[in-house]
Amino acid sequence: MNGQYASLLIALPLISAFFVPLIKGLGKKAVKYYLVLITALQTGIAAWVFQEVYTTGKPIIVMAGAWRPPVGINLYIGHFAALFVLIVAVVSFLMAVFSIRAISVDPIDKYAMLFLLVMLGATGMIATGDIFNLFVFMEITAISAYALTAYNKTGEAAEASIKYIILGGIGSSFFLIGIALIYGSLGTLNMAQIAQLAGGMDATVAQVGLALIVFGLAVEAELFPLNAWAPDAYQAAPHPITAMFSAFVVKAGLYALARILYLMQAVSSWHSVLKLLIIMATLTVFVAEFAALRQKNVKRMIAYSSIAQIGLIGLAFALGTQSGVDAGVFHMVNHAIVKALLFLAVGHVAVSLGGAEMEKFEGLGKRMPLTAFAITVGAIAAVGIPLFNVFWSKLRILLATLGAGYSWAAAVVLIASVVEAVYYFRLIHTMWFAGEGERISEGLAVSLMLLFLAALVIVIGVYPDYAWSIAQKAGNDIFNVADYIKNVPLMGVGA
Amino acid sequence: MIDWKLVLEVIGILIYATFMGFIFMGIERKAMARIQRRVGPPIYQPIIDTLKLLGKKESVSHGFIYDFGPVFAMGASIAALLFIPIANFQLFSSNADLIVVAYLLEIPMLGIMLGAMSSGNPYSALGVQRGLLTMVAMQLPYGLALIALIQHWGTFKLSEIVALQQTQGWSILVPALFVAMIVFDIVFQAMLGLEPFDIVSAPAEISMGPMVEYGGKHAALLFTQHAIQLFAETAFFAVLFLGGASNLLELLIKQIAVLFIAIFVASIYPRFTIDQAAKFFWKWPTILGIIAVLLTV
Amino acid sequence: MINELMIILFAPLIAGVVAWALDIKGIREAIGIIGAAIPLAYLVKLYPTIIENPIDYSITVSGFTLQFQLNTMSWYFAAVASLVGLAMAFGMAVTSRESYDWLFALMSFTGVLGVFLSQDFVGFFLLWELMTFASFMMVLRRNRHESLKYFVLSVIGAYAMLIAIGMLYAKTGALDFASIRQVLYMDAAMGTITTRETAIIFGLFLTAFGVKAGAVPLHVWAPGAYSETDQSYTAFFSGALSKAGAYGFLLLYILMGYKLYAAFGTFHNHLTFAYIIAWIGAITVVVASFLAVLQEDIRKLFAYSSVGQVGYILLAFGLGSTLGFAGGLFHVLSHAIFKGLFWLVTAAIILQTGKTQFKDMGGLAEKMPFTFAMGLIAVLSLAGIPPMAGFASKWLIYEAAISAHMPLVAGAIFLGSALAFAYVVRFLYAVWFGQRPSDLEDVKEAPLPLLIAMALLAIPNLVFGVAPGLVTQYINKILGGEVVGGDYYKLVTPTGTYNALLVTIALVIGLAIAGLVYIYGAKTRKIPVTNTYQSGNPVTEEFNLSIRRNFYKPLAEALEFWLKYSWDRFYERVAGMAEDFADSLRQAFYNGNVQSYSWYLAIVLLILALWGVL
Repeated sequence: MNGQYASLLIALPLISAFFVPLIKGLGKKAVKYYLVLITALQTGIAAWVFQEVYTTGKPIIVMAGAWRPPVGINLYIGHFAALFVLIVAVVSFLMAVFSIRAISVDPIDKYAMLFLLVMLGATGMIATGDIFNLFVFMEITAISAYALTAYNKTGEAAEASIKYIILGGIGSSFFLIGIALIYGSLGTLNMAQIAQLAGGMDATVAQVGLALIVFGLAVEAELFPLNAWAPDAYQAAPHPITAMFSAFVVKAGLYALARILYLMQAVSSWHSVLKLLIIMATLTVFVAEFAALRQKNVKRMIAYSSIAQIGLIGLAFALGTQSGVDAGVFHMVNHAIVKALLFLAVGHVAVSLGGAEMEKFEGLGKRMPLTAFAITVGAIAAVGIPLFNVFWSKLRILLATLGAGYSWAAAVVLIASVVEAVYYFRLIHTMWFAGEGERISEGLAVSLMLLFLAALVIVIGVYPDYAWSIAQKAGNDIFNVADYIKNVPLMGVGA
Repeated sequence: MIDWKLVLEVIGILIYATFMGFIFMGIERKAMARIQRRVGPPIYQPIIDTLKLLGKKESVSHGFIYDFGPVFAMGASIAALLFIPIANFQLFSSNADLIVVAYLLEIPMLGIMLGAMSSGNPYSALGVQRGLLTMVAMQLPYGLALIALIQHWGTFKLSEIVALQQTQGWSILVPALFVAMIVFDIVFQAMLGLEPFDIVSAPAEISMGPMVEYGGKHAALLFTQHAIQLFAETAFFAVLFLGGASNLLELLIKQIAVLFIAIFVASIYPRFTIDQAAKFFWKWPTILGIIAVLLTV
Repeated sequence: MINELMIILFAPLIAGVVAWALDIKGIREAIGIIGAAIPLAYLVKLYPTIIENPIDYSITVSGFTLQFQLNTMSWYFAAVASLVGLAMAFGMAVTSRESYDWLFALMSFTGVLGVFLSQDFVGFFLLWELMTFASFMMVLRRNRHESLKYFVLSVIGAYAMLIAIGMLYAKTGALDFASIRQVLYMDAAMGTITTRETAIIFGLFLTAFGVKAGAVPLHVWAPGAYSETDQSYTAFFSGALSKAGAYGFLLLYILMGYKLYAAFGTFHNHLTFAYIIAWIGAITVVVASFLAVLQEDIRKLFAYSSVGQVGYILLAFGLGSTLGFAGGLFHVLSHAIFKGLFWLVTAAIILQTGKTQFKDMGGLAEKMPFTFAMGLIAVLSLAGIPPMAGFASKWLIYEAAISAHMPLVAGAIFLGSALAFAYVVRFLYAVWFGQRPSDLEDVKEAPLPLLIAMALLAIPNLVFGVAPGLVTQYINKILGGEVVGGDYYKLVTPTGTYNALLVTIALVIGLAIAGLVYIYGAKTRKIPVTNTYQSGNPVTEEFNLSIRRNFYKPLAEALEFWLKYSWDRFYERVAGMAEDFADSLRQAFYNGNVQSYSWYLAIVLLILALWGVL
């Protein structure tokens, strides 16, 4: 099959989003099932792309309107993008299914539309090969996300959304300025070409441009101290959306950060930017874990934990070594699975029991044993216990950090991990060994999804080889810029 | 295959030790009495006492462990004795060293404790408590004294320690070991259960402590055990610090000398309370012990 | 292809998972016991071969090569753990009725075996974490606070180890023991790794292994964790799991010994780094033993005792002489068997009476005679009464410590032994003797599986006591030389000698003589416990005259000054401060005010500018 069909990844959600108002006429239910159908289709396409990329070992380059880059905008679906597009699609699909149960507030058609747009934006951010296009997709994601944060129509949701808008807006403005500077200097927006030319860029412009881009993306990527919007937004957003935030929206931002960072390796200030990022990422982990320690709301607690884990990934990417990037990608995959699991389960509890406060979790092991089991698996995995997937990636990240000579960063991260263990295990104790309760129905669909994700956590934990080899390839895709440049047919412009 | 000479030696020494142990007990009572200007019992009084106890028609028992305790204590005392070189009789001493003997000398205590505890008498329990705390208190200086000795002579074997002393002079002639000897002598007071460390039995307070329930043949066993133990411990002292002995008479003189020092000390000092004893042991004897071991490193 | 090592390693874990998943009464226990028996069976089967040819196995997981090796040393540790593990399984068959317990108990079994068999740091760390996690889950179920204390300290240790591993990895580029050892050996001469870095790595490893071994001041988790779990499991927890820490110290010697020597040199003719370990051990022995004496709860008493006894092992390893290693290794075995036995006895007592405090017990010797006999064996062994296994190992440590010219350390052993004597006798008195509280009148003997478990551990106490040469000759093979001479019954060191058989014979002779006197003496009449001499103040049966509470109060009074300080309270305070810090951090940073959030952005921009980037 022609690789150009991969453009359906962008086209499908976009077009289907516009069809939502038509479906609305068939009733609320129909919208939800429509959502499930589209995400399932998207998953199918993503799976095909994934399979294609990983069997041929070559990236798929989609050229819009058959214009060759750098004139035309291209999609670059390499190992990383193929992997992450699949994750985006799968998580979206699961959350679409979950939405059937979790979302009851109107206007459901707007929800579906925004849902698809978030998915579209994230997919686009990951797949695009054009830096301005990246900005566009980021804005699509972000604006949909602002709206979805406020979707529950409560006061807190509105407040959280406003915070998100303000901070996200500032961030993207600076990002745009950064792009403008680079464009002004290099005259191109194609990422491959930027990489090619970065070495010859005016040093000051390159420095400022890179710094502004990093600053802008750091807001999306939830790096300390630019992540202040995140806990509120995570808590206020509808449960499926929170899972999506954590599983891929923030990761898309992180990916963009990493991608641009490595594309511009040749810039002279590169190492000091890395150093700054390492500090920010380490502090992200530290502050977020401590913030989660006495959290009374489980959803918020997991949100903090998610932020911390993102910081860990950021740290891995900021090391500037191959092993660091590989480990970071591996952690991204694992974290996406674990956090999707946790937010799904916690959301499920919140929907079933009417809230995610700690008291609601007392006796959960007796009331909703399967959900409690899933949360337990997720929590144990998040702490980094062997035979669960996160152990491997965390180990990799720490070894990479120490290998790069940042012992202090590893130490701080590990101190924070101790804190993480404490609050997760308190939660486990609360669920299983405190309180009583009658068993209530858990719903077949959600149960199956939870079991699927939990099984995935354990399978990767026990047999990490396959996941690790994928992560290595994907990491190589980010780190090895020379190949990236080579793979994009640049019409012979530039070098 | 059986070494008949050794068997005879063992039997002979056991009889001798038991007899002399009783005599030591008699000497103790007599000397104490003379110091306190009493007439005191005849020196062979403990033997008569023991025979009388054995002659009782019936003894009471509080159960199996109550019976087992004194038997175990006496058995262990005998075992300990067999590993100490008594004058020119080596017995089993080439097969065990100082640490083994020091432990063997402690086992009888466990036997007495076992019996005392199973009697259910609170005085016994108090006695057990005091006995163990005394042991805890004295063990540190005791250990240090032994370490100093071992470090100086470079061997753990009692027979070698004796041999070395006979060629190079007694332990107490070495300044560091003289310090160790002082420590050991203080501890010795507690090992023999004499004032100021007779906290265990404290006749006036807890009615002989561990022994309170015992009568008849049980008490006879304990008396005999005490006699053997007394003999073994004084011999142990003589072997460690006074150059051992080449014949029984020399050993006897040294043992009685040791005994008299103990008696004199005992007759002068009043009893410590247990926490005072602990604090005392962990202060001066320990400091002296540390000095001794550091001098011999 | 399935390797024997993999079977040894994963049989318990798989059995645990199966038992957990099936969760059928009877079958669950049977599977658990079989799973726990397999490692021991295989180890026994492989015994003849490993001395000549170690068995290797390696698998690649996630890009790491995990290497396992069954050599003389790992066989020894694994065999000790498996023996205790099997006893644990028998004990758990009656004390634990939850599939949850089986899963995690057997999981930690796998973890412990893996720690001993691993030959590279990834596998070592992985299984170390697994072991920690599984044992933590055993405690979490029963007590959240204590389990978290355990977990936090363990995880701090594990992460310290991880940093050390990472630093070694960064310096040597290797994760397997053989290469690290070689590189560090060469580096000792070249000195590319600075003394400061070596000191950091050493300190981190010390923390890591110190936590698991319960070395003072990292011991605070032990009393709580050992108490608040199934007591049959504690037999394994304290008997085998804590040995992982001791094993770690040994590993430190193997991997870094020469480098550490080159980096720190000697102190008064002792290896400086070893001297530190020896003193940690000595302090642990003294502090933990003192605390054990003052406990009022049977579980706490043995928990502190465990800490103290592992201190002996550290102390022995810290002597740095081969004799010290021999003593330490022997004590690994004897501590495992006597302390395992103690915990099983405790399990039986708690199972049958439902009490844990000394004040509620008494007079059980008549009701549970077999358990009492087992308890007595354990007491004799722990107190170091010849001829028990506990004495043989302690004797070696004495010899080693004094001949290594560490008199003060050796003094700590003397003190510790006396304290051990004191606390076991306290246990004997409070539980078995004296007047029985009326609510314990219908207590029965422990059930059969528990008795089997106890016998399983009691027999080695006697066998290795009378024939300590069985163990020392194997240890000679581990250490590769004639460290402890003699034959099966007789141990000979360069300076001393101990003939266990002869001591046994002498004791038998003594007992025979005393027994004859007893038998030919007058007949006895049995009277009840309450019929005692009371200085003329007859008391009725309602009063229980046994002293069970504050048995060692005078000691507490003598130690009043020292008891004011407590590591435990110190850590609690630090933990409280950390939580408060977390709160204030959150409130200060995530204060919900969007204006301050905007300021953060401005500040970051400012920093970017100042950084010289902008």
